[in-house]
Amino acid sequence: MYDGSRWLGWKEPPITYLQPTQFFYELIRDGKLKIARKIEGPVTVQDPCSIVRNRGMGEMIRDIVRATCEEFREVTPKLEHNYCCTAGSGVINYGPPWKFIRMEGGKVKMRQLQATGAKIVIAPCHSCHKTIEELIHYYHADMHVMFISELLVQTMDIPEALRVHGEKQEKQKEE
Amino acid sequence: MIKVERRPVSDPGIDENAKKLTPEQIEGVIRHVLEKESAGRLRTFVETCIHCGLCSDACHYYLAYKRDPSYSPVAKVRLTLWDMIRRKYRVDAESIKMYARISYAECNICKRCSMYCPFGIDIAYLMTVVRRICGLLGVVPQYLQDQGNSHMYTYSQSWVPQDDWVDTALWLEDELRMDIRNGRIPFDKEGAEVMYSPHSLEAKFKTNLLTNIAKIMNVAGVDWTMPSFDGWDSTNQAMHVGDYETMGMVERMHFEAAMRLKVKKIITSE
Amino acid sequence: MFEFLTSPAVYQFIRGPLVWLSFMIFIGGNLYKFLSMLSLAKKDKVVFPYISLKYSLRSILHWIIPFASTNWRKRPGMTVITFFFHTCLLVTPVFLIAHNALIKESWNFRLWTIPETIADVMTVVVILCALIFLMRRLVVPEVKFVTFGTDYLILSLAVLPFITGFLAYHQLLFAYELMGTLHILAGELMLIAIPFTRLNHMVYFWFTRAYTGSEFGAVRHTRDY
Repeated sequence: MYDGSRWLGWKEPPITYLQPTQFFYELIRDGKLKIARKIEGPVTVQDPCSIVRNRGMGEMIRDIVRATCEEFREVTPKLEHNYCCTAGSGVINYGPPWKFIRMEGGKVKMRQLQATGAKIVIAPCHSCHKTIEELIHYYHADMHVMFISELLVQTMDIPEALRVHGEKQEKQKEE
Repeated sequence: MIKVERRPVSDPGIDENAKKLTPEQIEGVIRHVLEKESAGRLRTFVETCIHCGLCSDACHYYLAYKRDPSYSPVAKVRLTLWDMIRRKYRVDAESIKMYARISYAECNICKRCSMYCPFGIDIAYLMTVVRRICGLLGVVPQYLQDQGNSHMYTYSQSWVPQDDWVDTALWLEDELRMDIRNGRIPFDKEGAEVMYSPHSLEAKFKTNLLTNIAKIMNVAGVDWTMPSFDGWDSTNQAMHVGDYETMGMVERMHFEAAMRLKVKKIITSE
Repeated sequence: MFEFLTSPAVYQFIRGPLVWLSFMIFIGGNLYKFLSMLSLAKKDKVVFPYISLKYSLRSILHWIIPFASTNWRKRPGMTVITFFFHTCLLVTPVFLIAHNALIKESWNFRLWTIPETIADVMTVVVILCALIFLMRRLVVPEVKFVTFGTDYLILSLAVLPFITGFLAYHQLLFAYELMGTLHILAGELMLIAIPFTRLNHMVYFWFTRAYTGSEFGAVRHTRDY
């Protein structure tokens, strides 16, 4: 985002833009989105460079995760000191010839995530998400990756008026 | 020239395009980028670096490749920019291939090293300068260049033209209604509170992510919209190619779409 | 050669005009470097809009205080050596009794001074730290990989005045007069070299830090330490 604006000679873009992390954080903070249930099991996070080192939203990610998950496990190094997922700046898109470099370079990332013992990794960035998923397969780790939006969709409270099935039907299904 | 140990990788975007380069072209491009396009930052950063190696621990490649010194951030500058400058811009195609490999594949421009350099030298910026040189010479990983081309051709990252985009969002709206009663994916709503601009993957392989966003927007009662016209894609791979002309066009198009819809703010996809 | 250096005319020249010349080159050169950096920074569209005083100071402070930034904490040995080296390198020559005596002789004022024994110890500290830097360059792989001839050159330029000064003070190796002349010559060489070699990081440090500190703080809303 910065390089584009710089090239065009803008200090800041003409319209405020928010990363979804901040937007979701504000929705939860302002009570527009109610959290009905919490994700079980230990959860950890990935700090994407694009929104943490470049936008300073590390604490927002953690607040969302704490609000929606039962057990949050911190990573070390954390926040802006966190490692890159090795997919940043387009490396994710180089295709099969270059996959090895992400897998080998991601060793540090994987060790760091495994050290937390978490079963779910919250990766708010598409590149991080995909590459960590591939890393998990490559290193045979017992984890899976989720977006923040997935997290919210699974935990948010859908008001009665918007539900397709009634409350009773859902309860019957559960039983 | 120092030899560095690297696993050979065959990438037509780098190998084949490097064959077509002429010495004049290489020298001209390097001169243009280093002397015309970049100024204060490049000069000051290159002249300040004291070669102390304190940035090494910041790089995940350096740590992952068993502390191989050629993967440390300063070594990447040494193998690319210093090499060009020391050889007075007269470098051969083989060197350009090495620059391309180092700047495109062995650096994620994550800026972690800037946080570890005692001088605050923005090594990631120096790597983008190298990418710019390789990008102008056309020595770019094939898949990445393909996405840059897609931006030029369809104004989206992954060859999703505008009509496909609208079509996708329409069937996504149908799917959304399986979960949310009367769920909407509103297009072109002028004066809306927010414009969501998706990742182009959300219109191609990972459409469920767009459905998720739509669910959240509907449940939270947000006044939102998306452009049905070009400029809907929030990604910009041309930036990574080093093709700043296309990058500027994509960026401008994106904000112009928001202006046209008179929205208050943009929510990007990541 | 030694006779040449100790001959009265040469000694007078090195003691007199050359000192003036080297100080002029030092100040003028740094000024030139500073101004050319400013004009180049203006060409670089983003530098001036991004600069913020608050975040510049925050960044500089975190990096000139030992152990205040993550990387200083991660490498305690290197931190201690770096800070000892640079403090002693700057403090010793400015507050040395002998130097201040010369200043008093010329301009009739003096700064406060440090005792001779302490100055002597600080000189040894500089020399030892420089030796460690040299060892790093020769032994540590990631430093060795990025070391050029110029790195040894600037290291020796920085440390030669201290070696010659130490030898002259203790009247070792050569006669005091010759050693003294060599010491003055080494000091002048260092002053002249500062603007034109990477020794000018003493000037650039503040500005590269200020820019990166501002970019991280004001634009990216994160910390850079």
